[in-house]
Amino acid sequence: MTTLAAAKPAPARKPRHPYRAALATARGRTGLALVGLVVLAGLLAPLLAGHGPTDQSALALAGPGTPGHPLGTDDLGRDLLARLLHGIRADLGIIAVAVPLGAAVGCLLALAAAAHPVADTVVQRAFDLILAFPGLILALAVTAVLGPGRLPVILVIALAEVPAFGRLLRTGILVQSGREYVTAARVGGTSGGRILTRHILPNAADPLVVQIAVSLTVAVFLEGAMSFLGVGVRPPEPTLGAVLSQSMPYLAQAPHFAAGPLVTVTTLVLGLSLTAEALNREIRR
Amino acid sequence: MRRYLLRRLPSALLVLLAASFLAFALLRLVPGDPAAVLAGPDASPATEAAIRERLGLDDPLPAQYLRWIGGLLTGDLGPSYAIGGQTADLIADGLGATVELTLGALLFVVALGAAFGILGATSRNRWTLGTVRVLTTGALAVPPFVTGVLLVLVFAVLLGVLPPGGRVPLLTAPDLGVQYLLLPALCLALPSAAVLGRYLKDGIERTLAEDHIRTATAAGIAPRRLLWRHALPNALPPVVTLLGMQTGHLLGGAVLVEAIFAWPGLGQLAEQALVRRDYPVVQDLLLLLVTVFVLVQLLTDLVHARLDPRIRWE
Amino acid sequence: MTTPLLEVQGLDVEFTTPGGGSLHAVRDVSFTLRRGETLAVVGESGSGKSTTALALLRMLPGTGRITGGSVRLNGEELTTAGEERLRAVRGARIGMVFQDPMTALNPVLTIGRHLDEVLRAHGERDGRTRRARAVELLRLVGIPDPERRLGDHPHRFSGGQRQRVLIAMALAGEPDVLLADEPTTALDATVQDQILTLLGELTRTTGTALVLITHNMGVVARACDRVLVMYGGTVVEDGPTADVLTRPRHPYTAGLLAAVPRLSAPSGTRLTGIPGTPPDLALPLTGCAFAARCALAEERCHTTAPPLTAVTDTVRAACLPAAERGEPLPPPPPPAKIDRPAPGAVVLTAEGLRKTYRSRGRRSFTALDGVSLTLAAGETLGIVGESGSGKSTLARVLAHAHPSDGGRILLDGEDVTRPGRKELHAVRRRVQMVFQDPYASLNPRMTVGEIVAEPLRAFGIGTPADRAGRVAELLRLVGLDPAAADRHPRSFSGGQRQRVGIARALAPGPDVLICDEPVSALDVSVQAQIVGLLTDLQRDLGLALVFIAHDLAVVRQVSHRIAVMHEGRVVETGDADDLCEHPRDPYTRALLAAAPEPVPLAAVRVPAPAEAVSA
Repeated sequence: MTTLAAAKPAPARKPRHPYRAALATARGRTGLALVGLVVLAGLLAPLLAGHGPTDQSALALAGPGTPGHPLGTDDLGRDLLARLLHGIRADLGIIAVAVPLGAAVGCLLALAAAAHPVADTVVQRAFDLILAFPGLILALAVTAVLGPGRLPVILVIALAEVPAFGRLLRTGILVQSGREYVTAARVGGTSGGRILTRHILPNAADPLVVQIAVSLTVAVFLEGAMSFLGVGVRPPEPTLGAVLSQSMPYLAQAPHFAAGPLVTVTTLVLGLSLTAEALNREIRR
Repeated sequence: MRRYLLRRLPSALLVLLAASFLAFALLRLVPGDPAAVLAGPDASPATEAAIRERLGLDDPLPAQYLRWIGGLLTGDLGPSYAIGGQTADLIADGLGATVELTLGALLFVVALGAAFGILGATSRNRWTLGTVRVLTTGALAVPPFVTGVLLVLVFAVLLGVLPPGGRVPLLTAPDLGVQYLLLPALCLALPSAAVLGRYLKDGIERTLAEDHIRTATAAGIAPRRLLWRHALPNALPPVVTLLGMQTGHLLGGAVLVEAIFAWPGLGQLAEQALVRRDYPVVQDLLLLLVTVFVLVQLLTDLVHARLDPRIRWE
Repeated sequence: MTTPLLEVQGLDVEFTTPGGGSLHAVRDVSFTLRRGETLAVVGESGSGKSTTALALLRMLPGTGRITGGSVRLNGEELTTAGEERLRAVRGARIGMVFQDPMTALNPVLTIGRHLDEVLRAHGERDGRTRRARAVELLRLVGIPDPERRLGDHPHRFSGGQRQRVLIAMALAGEPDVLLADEPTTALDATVQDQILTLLGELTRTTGTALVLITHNMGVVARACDRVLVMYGGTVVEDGPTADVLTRPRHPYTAGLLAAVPRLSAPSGTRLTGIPGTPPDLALPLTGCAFAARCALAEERCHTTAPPLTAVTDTVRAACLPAAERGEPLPPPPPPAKIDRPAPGAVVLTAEGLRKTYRSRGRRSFTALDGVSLTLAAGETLGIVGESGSGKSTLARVLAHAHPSDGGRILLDGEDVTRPGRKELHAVRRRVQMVFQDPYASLNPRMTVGEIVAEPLRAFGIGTPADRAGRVAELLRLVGLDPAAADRHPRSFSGGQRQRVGIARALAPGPDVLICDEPVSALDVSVQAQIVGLLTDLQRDLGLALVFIAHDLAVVRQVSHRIAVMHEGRVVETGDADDLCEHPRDPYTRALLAAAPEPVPLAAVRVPAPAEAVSA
């Protein structure tokens, strides 16, 4: 192309890593701040709550601003702030295990697929199979065997993420392996392992970073939906989804019951979407 | 076209076969004696024995599997122990409701997704763009179970214009049926519509930046025609594939939406069967849903190939 | 005098950079075009030639906008015309053909639909008439069996045929002006020749004026009466092709002409590139854009912008000294002969190499079909061929990037066709490769230092502490500042990146260097620099060089011997000068005939209008 001017030597300042540049944009910062707020609330839950998440008081469905219960109480007189904060904490605990687990398994399978054509076929069919069970159907199948609880939720979320990460990385590796700089490295004597770790993977990883943010939102939804259907974490332990589903019968009567988890989930998901979008924009350039 | 179908068919059949193994294995993975689990805690040994006999639980596993598949192929699914009645009838009833819900949602997905995508990619109006952005972000950021309840709150409780739940079959009473269908279909459709809209927007924007659009512009073709006749045909094939994937999500989401709106479909049936530990029904349902999904995928692949002339020649 | 067909006055185009600054891509460009005239706009990357073309139709991409000047078509102002009016001009009054025929057609529409859309846009309402006209247009541009081909999609056509279809589309509205932006750059020389012939015939028979934008001086000489030379967004010289190409007034034109390899230049000569890099368009321009690179620049050249002034009746130049000189610049000295030692013993031998690519399913493609060749120490073997001739596959097989399916490769007489892991490592240390695309062949995530150090590390050369010093030494060797080691490839220009690629290839101290189209992606003035660098390195390091290119002129200049490849076979090999002067194979002759030389036709033949240009 001759339309635009040729590349000029960049200013002397060393360019920042593209991810950092992406996160420094207004969009990226807002996203990170929103996510950080929710995460911090979850981490500090025992300090901030003031009540145990399952402690019951005589006040049922007290409105917000009630002395001692800033967000009010639920139908069983439990403090909503405590339930919300501990719910965030429980959700974070599930998500922080499930998404990395799914991502790791997916990436390992993708690496196996890159190693041998037979492995590739097997892995691809396995991904097809998992994808053939849409999210909640998978959840039903897993809980059918394991019963409700924390482990099935983690397992369902992880399983749902395996093909997402696996397919992305597999495509990334395929695309990058065909690039000329990889041939150049091979001709330059670089060993196969180093080509994979130093050349192919750093360039194939970009879409994965975006996928992590997307997967975290999917995980929040799945947890909520499973709690809502009664196949999630066992009550009375609070999760965001559990508190929300409890509040549903009282929606018209005591909307503050639902407000806490609703705002939290929306904040978290919005933060994650903004972060993903910021990263995506920078990477696509 | 036939050659393309033949090439895609084996892997689809493979997935179905593997899915049937998984569904079959489910009942056998549940801890404890399956017959005892199915019969429930209070059942007499005679009931348990009858169940064992009916399901052939004493036979070797391959024989059990073949009996099950044979039953599926002949339409004989046996009775449902926990819910009562014939499993085939239960599924047939639920299937109608779920298909109605999913198709209704699909209509919303296509209409809203197209509107979001095309407006988002082509509008120059800041307010239009802002609205599209807020709606798509909102549809993705609010979980469907919350959207569902909010929809009920607004349209059924506050405004009282639509029923809060339940179903009147569309074929028996179209005007009433639509009223019942509207909210659940919309609730089910919103996240998928947002995904489709974003994808379509990206696709159109990418296509509009391609060289051939420049060629067409230089030839004096009007912007409107450029969008509809030149850019959309290019952006469409991947969107069709995405739509296939989203149909799977709709089937999954139906489980949730049916619970919110008391919609008597397969999702409700699955949840009931699960709660009452009626594993044969769960097993049948799983395989049915996967089959539908695989068929939809196959169909979208064919449509994709039809829309993109390059694929047929590869 | 009647009003000219197209009159451009003081055109300015600016872009907004991502940083918020502005980039002045076109500065004060003026020219006129008369009915039926053929005008070439020539310049290197960043000269603003394509931007100018797009600005005429108000089709500037992204943030581009016209900030000054006027464009008049038959007296009608286009810079302020409404969208509706512009659409009536696009296609109907000014037709445009773009560079890359592979992407310029819509892959999901048939060729018939493409033409139909254009004809419909220009008011032809009757479907049957449109179809008849489409067939007629395809026949006009030389597509055989047009009725049947209307229903085919673009991927069923070859690159040359697609370009013909694009020309048909541009001509569908019977425009007064055809704007062709690098129409043959993506095509092979023989196909380029056919397309230029077609354009010539069409403009003559239809009376359409042609504006041909190109970087190739040979194309200018071949196709146009008049030429406009652009540099740094400005017009530096403008005049009849015969005058400008033989008696340049502007030092840039002269430098560009001196840098173009000519088929007539014998083997072992050196081209003079233009030192330095083009100006940064984001900076304000004071004085002449070329002053920083000009050997003849005077004090005032840096401070006063030179106006485009008439130096003769027909030639205008934007150069203060040239305006006073009155004489054309002296012709460049004949290419300097470089003294290089005679080639030594044979290091690399290939015998009957075969390579077949199997695409999934039925069709397989034989890229190499029994290729044999030898290469001696200190020798340059040139390999020429068009796309699909197998020359790049040969490079990859020789460099052990891909295995061969048959035949033998000998290194110092030892069979290394299918080496073991250890052997392969040893072979790679001795045989290195330079790649065509300086953008794709460098890992964007690594710094230049890391890239060059990669082979040092792989072959265990030096301690990690020594390597930084060795990298600096290598960078200096290829003419780069050692400080470049800390930067990423994206902050370098194409020529600089190619130097990085050469430094990487030299790192393990190889005996054989395989260069796969090392200069094809570069501008002519940069190309001359890189070719010079490779020649120097060969002489100083005693390298055996395989130099692959599609441009016979460059190959002749650098090579001792040449092998011509066609459809996976070597059709002719021989001494470089001998092969170019006395070609034996018909394919070699066709290649030689198609190579465009930067010599105006008038200077070669006796001007005789009756003698039509035909293939």
